[in-house]
Amino acid sequence: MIYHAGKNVYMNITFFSGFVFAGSLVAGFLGSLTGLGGGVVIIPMLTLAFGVDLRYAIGASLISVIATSSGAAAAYVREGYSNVRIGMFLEIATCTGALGGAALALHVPTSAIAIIFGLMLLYAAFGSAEHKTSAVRADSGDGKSLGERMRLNGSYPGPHGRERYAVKRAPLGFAIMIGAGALSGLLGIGSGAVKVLAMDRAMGLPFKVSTTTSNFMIGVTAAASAGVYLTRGYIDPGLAMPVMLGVLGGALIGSRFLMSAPASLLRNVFRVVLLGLSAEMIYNGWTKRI
Amino acid sequence: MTDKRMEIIVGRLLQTGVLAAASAMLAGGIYYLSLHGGQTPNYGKFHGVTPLTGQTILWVGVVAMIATPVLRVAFALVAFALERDWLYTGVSSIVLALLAYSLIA
Repeated sequence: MIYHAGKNVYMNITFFSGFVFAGSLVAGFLGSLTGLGGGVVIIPMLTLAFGVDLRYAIGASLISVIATSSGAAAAYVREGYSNVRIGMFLEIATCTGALGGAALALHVPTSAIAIIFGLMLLYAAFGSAEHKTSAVRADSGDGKSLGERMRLNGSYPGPHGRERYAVKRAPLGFAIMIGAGALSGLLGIGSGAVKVLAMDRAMGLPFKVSTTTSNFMIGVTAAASAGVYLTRGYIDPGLAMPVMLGVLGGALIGSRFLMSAPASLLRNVFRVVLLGLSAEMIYNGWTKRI
Repeated sequence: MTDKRMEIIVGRLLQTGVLAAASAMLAGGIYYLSLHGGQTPNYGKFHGVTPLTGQTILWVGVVAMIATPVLRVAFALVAFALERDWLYTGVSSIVLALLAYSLIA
């Protein structure tokens, strides 16, 4: 905590933007390297270290979330893993959730949002620890399940040519996606971990299809939240500028290092950071400092 | 229009959108800092909508960034209609309607 809200040490906008840019660069780099996303670190960094009002932090984070999601999705769609139909179908759920979450955020005190954010950081640090696809019972296959009626089944490039997969439990996935959207709208994050949970665990999709389709959907979900926040003054372009450019640059560098870095060690270091940030956010929310 | 072709165009659309938004942010950022760089930042207190002072190009960047995924959905709507996939033309229009609602609500 260097510059705490209310106790603003003199600092001009150029230095401020430079520090925010550098911090966002590191956040984007770590977020892309660990696959946990940059948004979860940006908001605690802006509020705790720079004393930015939580509402401006949420607005700036959303813009950077749209940028990284769109930038990464551009590469993923060409690889042929993401499923456009599953993505579009589930975007009805995430956008509905996002509109609800963002509307809720306008009425909930920021201290409460900070506590919810802290709990979400706890989940990001430990809840998404294991990535094993559970064995899900296949739907009847009589053409009457929601997944079949919406023609969600697809194929992806496997080691022996394209492999087909079938969608299971589409209604459950849809319901979880409403929650993911609400979390995204309320907290200004991509909530990729919850989206992957819905597709990987609930709908039984191949992991690579889940992660790329999730990434594809994050931008549209964040745009729905950003729309609500834009007209309420949450998005300040002067703050969004260094955050977006920093996170985008960091994610770009991170994607180049993806293959060579010791990912598991980094992920554990990142988990400890998230744990510390979670405690800070909950403490500051509880004592009404945010 | 096949799904594969649609995905390639979507990929390019997203890339262009991010590039345009980032360029506007960079150019606007330099201009903004040259005008206001010496002032003290005031994000510690929420003061609602910020007036347009040397930030106009930055707004272009913000709006371009939000518009990119919206355009992606709009494009998918047209592409599904060209494929005569009415189910997904409908799904896309619901998503587009939700996005439009977020801006006017």
